[in-house]
Amino acid sequence: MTNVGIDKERMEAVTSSRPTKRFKDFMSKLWKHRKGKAGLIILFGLVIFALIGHFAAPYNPLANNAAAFQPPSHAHLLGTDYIGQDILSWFMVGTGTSLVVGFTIAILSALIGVTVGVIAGYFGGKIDDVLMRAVDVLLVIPGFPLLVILQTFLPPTLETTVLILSILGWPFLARVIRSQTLTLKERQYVLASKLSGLSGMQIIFRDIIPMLIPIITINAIFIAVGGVVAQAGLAFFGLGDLRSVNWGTELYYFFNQDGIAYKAWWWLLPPGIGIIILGLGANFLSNGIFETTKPQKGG
Amino acid sequence: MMSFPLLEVKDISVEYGVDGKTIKAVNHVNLEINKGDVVAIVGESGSGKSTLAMTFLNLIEKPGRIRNGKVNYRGAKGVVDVLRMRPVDLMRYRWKEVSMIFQSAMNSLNPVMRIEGQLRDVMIEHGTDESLVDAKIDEKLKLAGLTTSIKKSYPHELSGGMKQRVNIALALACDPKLLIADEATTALDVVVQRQILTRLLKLKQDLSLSLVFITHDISLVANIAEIINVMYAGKIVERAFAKQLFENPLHPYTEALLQSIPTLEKGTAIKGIKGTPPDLSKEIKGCPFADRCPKMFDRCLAEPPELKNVGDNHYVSCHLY
Amino acid sequence: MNSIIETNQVTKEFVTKRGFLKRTTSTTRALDQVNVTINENEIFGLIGESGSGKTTLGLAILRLIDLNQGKINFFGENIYDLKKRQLFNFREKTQMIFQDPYSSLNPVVTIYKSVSTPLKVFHKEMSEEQVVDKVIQTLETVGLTPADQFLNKFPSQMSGGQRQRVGIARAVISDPDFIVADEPVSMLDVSLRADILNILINLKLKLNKSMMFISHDITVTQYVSDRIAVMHLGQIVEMGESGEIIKNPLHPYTKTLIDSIPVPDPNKKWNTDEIGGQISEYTNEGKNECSYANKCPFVKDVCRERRPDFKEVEKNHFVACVLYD
Ligand SMILES: Nc1ncnc2c1ncn2[C@@H]1O[C@H](COP(=O)(O)OP(=O)(O)OP(=O)(O)O)[C@@H](O)[C@H]1O
Ligand SMILES: Nc1ncnc2c1ncn2[C@@H]1O[C@H](COP(=O)(O)OP(=O)(O)OP(=O)(O)O)[C@@H](O)[C@H]1O
Ligand code: SF4
Ligand SMILES: [Mg+2]
Ligand SMILES: [Mg+2]
Repeated sequence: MTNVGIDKERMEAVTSSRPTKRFKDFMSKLWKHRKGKAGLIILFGLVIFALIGHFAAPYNPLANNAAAFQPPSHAHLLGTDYIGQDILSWFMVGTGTSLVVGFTIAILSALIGVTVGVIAGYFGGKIDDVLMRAVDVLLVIPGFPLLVILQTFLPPTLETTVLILSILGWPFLARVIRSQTLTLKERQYVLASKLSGLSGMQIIFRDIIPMLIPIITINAIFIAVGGVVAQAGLAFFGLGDLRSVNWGTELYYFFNQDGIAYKAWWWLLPPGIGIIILGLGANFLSNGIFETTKPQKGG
Repeated sequence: MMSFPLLEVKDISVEYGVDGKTIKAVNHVNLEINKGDVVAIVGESGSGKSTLAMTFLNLIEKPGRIRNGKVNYRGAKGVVDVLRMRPVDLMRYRWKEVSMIFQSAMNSLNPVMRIEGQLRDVMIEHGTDESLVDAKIDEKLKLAGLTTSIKKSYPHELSGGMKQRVNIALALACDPKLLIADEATTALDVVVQRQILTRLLKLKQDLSLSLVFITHDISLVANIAEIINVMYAGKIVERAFAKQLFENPLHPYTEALLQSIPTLEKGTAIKGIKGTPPDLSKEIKGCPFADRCPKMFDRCLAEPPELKNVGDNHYVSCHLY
Repeated sequence: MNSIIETNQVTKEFVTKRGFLKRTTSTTRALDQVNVTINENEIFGLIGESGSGKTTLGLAILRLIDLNQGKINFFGENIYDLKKRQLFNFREKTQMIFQDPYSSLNPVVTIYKSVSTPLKVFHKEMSEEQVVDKVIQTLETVGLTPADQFLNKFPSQMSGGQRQRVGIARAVISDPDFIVADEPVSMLDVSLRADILNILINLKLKLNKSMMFISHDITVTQYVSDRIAVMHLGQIVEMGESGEIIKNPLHPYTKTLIDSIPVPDPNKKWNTDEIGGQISEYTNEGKNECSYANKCPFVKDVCRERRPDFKEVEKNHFVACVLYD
């Protein structure tokens, strides 16, 4: 029956379904989109900045051997803080921490949110009822007070903060993902997959999740930014690990250690601008992803 | 009939670049559509019909590329090349001047929006007076043979044929001058199909709407089209008035095509055409139909035939003539 | 003759929520007490008005939607009672060619992956090489040559007719016993269509398979089918041997349908004066009257009083119309 010869090369060509190629196509499209490109450059820039900070910050951010409250100078490009720590170094290292915090929160929230949303949407019925009830409860609880309460009772480490923020981040995403799944599962190729004998989970991974990737990415970006801001906010109120070097603690010390009295604008600006730049980049990028992945309407 | 055509496609070629290969989907095609014409494009699956029609709207997208050629449209402001239009003008041109029912029609509606909203969006976007929109939505739905109550439905609540009819309504939403219907009635029963198509023909009569039908339904073509273009492997291989083409098909492919029309007589076997269409990513030296053609001779392998007029506006691209 | 599929009073209603806050609902009875039997080694044609429930019946027979009422037996066993393992066995024996080749292929899955899945799931014993071989072979039989070139393509890189053939390849590759073919050749030119139809007919002739063949093209349907049923607003209004239905249609709707078949004659141009006739202005709300009463030229008072019985008027020729009571 087999008269068609198979050589190895062809086998390989066939069996790899080349997700890398699709990713490349997507990136090249995004790169051509003005905002998408701006977003990529900004966020990539921040990451590079953080990496440089990690490996080559001019000073140890916690070394306090310079004079306090110095305005920017050659030795300290962004001046020093209340105990003479180098602000540029603090900011550079802090950028890294803040980004890692945001990224981790985004990943955790996305994992939970997507799992819950897809399962609720695809299987429906009782599972859906239970999961969505949980989501509703989490959504109506006012977030920030809860955060404050949890934060005061749990050990004050950065990990706790990340965990709490992740738990608060996913319910909204789950909602979005569920409603998307509901329309996606009406697609005929889902029926075709059922006929091909695939199980519910296999169908989810093949026919549902790939279609959700843009929406997940966009939401994850916002959760990440939200996470960075919320962590900063918590720190601002003195909650969480205050010994950690990040944008939030930087703000905390500014406000609590006479930053205002000394009119130390050079101390306030870096974390402020950092947050704004991050928000801007995230906005551009998600806008770019949205525009380049939305289904084209013909005509 | 010496007026300047409504749409003139000049020497257009389209390629798709896939996996390092170049598929020549449309190959130096010329075509004219006059006001009030009913033109059909028929031909083998994969011969480039949809691709050709997309060029009328400047809709070829990556990995597709228009290699050369022009698409001249005669609008209110004179003749313009659609391929060089500014994006704003192009937006107005699509839907309002030329609109298309896509072959993917059943799949091209927004899944999370009611039918009504989709029609409304298109109408408002193209400057229909807000106060007239509701009446117009109903009018277009009826024109396309649908009850107006379906406007509250979402696309997945409609049958295949109903979705196609929604797309017909959408394409007519802005009263275009030229309507391209790419396999637009594949899911309609013959009664409904006939009712809708006669309505379109009436629009042609009353408002000089021009119609281009891309279809595999040769019987349908016979009943409605005035001019028929036969495509094969990215080229138009024959063009004639419907009557001429059916009574005196010249190109061997057209001949084979007409012979494979099934009839209602029981017992007559339906015949196909032997062989397979050529690989469009390879250079074709001679006539693209040569390896399937029963009348093939030496010259057919050596040089490509040109589309020429063999009298009475009957064009054919074959060395026999 | 053994029946492979037997539907018993199958009814399916779609309830859709309309209007603000989804307060109001409307009900469409897409299938209304449908009884059909499809025999082993038979091609059963289904024609009818657009929106009359043909696709819905096809989906119901394959347990791809839930029913409101009735049952469907596959080799005598109600498919809606099947448990997980049995359902898998049922899936192995059935397939469908979907009406819309655009929405039935996942846009981010390659042709090879789409077509090979049923094989990989149902024939786990096959090696990857054998699967590739079989995929190539199947693609070539449906005229996608050279098959190598299509394996790695995504659906968006193919024309409508090419996608339709991918759908056909996917449906036949795992050698199912029963296929629902929903408008399988609507986007194929007449020459290719002939090849595909012959492939489908050979499934029956050579491999003893059965099929439900849904099409609006009556010529094609009668060419492939042994029997034909005519649907209108969710009901089967006529059923019989395929030649008989075409030559001797009884139901007024079938008559209109057959009269409207376009003949390939350029001298018989359609007349633009003949417009008229209501189109699909009616949906089935389960009223107790003939479903065609609103459009029928022969309508009488009794037609609106009750549903006409579905009766055997001539041998093996059933019709639901008071004219034959
Ligand atoms: N986006 C694309 N990328 C790559 N190749 C494409 C793309 N679209 C079409 N093609 C190829 O170009 C050729 C012509 O396609 P086209 O859709 O124009 O055919 P068609 O005549 O409309 O066929 P059908 O009757 O089957 O719809 C086909 O061989 C097809 O595989
Ligand atoms: N998921 C759904 N929700 C609501 N209504 C539906 C749904 N699916 C189908 N319907 C309705 O059921 C009826 C029958 O639809 P079906 O798709 O079975 O028709 P069909 O005979 O296949 O028509 P066509 O020839 O146009 O494809 C239609 O009125 C349609 O609007
Ligand atoms: S040119 Fe030759 S091969 Fe081509 S169609 Fe004519 S006779 Fe046949
Ligand atoms: Mg096409
Ligand atoms: Mg259907």
